[in-house]
Amino acid sequence: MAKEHNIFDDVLRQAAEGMEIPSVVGQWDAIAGGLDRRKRRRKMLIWGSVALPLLIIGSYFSCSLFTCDKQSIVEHDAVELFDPLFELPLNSDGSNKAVEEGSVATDSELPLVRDGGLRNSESFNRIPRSGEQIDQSVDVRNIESIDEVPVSDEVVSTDADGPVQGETDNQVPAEAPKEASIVETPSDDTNIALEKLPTNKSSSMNPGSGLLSGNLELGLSVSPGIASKIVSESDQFAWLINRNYKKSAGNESSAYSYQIDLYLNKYLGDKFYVGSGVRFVERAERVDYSYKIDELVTVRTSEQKLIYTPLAPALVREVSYSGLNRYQFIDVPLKFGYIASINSKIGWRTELGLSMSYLMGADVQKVHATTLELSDAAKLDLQRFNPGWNMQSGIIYPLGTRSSLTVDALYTMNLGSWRSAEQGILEKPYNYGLMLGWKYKFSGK
Amino acid sequence: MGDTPDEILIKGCQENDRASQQLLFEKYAQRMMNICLRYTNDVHDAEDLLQEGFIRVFTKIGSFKGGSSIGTWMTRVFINMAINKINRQKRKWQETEYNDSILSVADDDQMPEQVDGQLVLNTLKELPENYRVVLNMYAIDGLNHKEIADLLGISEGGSKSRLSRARVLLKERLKEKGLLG
Repeated sequence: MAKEHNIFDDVLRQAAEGMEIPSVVGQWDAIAGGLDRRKRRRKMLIWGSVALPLLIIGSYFSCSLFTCDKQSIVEHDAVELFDPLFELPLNSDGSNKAVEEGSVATDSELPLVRDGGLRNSESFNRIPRSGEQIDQSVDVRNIESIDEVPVSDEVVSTDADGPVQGETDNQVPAEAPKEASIVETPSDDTNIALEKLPTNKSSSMNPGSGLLSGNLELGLSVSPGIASKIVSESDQFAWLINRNYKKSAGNESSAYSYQIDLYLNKYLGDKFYVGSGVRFVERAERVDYSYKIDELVTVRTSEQKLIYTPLAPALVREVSYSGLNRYQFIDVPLKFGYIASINSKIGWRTELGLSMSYLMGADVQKVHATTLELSDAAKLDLQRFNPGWNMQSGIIYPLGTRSSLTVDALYTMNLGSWRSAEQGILEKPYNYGLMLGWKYKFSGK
Repeated sequence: MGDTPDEILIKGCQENDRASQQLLFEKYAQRMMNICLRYTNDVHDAEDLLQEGFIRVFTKIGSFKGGSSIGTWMTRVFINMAINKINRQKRKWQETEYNDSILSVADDDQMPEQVDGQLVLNTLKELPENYRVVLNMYAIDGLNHKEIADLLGISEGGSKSRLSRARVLLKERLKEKGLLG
């Protein structure tokens, strides 16, 4: 649509062109400062987007832990209440062989019971002694109070049909004959119940089940390490690589990596577990480029070749750039682990897993394989989602009954290239490092 | 470095090279300040707009495809920024219906060949904002009615009637000042 011509507009245009403009030189500093602030805000946004999910997950598991603690207190009380019954009689060496069929508790062994969970209980005298019998038909799992434990001073029948003559507490002989089996072995059902109930006596160094009790495990770890990569050429698109690419991009070297893991493991038995979680990964590479772009490259797709035309001297450009390329990822792993004891103090674990990582951000300047221009992440067409695998193996040092410190050697690697094959160059990054962590085990539902 | 080709500067800016950004700023700052001054009417507001506009340019320059010159593209960015700024203050543009009679009255008036441009611009600044902006866009920055309508969120007819009304008002003011016969 042609614009109407108006002499009035011409006058205005000429007036605007001749308008006095105040100096703008001082404005550049403010603009440069604004650009820096914007860059910082972007970084904060990235970190915030990592911290927020971690905070939410952390809060969720904190709540879970709080709930689990309450449950474990109730269970623990119940065990304390029935310990004397189930473990009676204890021997002075701490073993409970006497509960085996055919064994007898003697008076000399009873004080151990007094030192147990019923130290202050008036029900102490109701604990079966040598010469007493308990009614097998009572299901101890239904007993809610020690007062309900059916103990008779005189006779406790073993079954409804055949009452057996017993003796009172006062009639217990000082040295009961051990061969006289008068303490009945609990029924099979009761045995099962006993086996299922955890006891405080369990102190074996099996990180999977003993000292570190529970079947769910929450862990947090930080893994400083080194980032590196395997570079190769795409079979299909290698023709797109500039003949000067290797010379131009030669100065790329390994730099740091680190990852922060928040994970949850579920034990499948004592030794095996599966786990997942979320991890933030930052990896960096050092680049030091110094080269000339003195050819114009034309891509001939039909012939699958590049045409090089020398640039006029005035158009030749020197590229000089040194810096760190940084990449940030969020990983969601799926891990399978095995855990075992080395000795009474230290455990050992090994994990193997797959992961899916999402490229959150990349502060990158790299040589484009075809044009040799310095290019950012968008121009390099870095893949946003990258599958990978990881392996770690290390030791566990328990700090108490539930928490422990972990030190692992860690190796993670992408399964594929994070640069699209269409660029001719394939890059498969990998990290290796030391994983330092803390984990806490708690009971699951 | 003042005559560095735009293509080189654009490449540098797209790679976040600070030196290229500064060169691009130095090359186009006066022209953009001109726009800022015409749309904001206030030097401090214009300086703020200049800073915001260049930050916007440097963060969005990756989307510059080269379909037009960088100067034209930047002009659009700055006009957009100015309109957004005015919108934030005014919230809503008043719709004025297109009226042929207004346009014809405006076209009938004669403009003297010699007139003080600065005085005309100063008079332009005294116009109500919705007229001043359209006159700036159409007469000085070269936008057509469709582009103006899109930017301001009004109809093309509204843009035309506003332009006509702006001309009439400007001429009336110039007559009051004795600049027009």
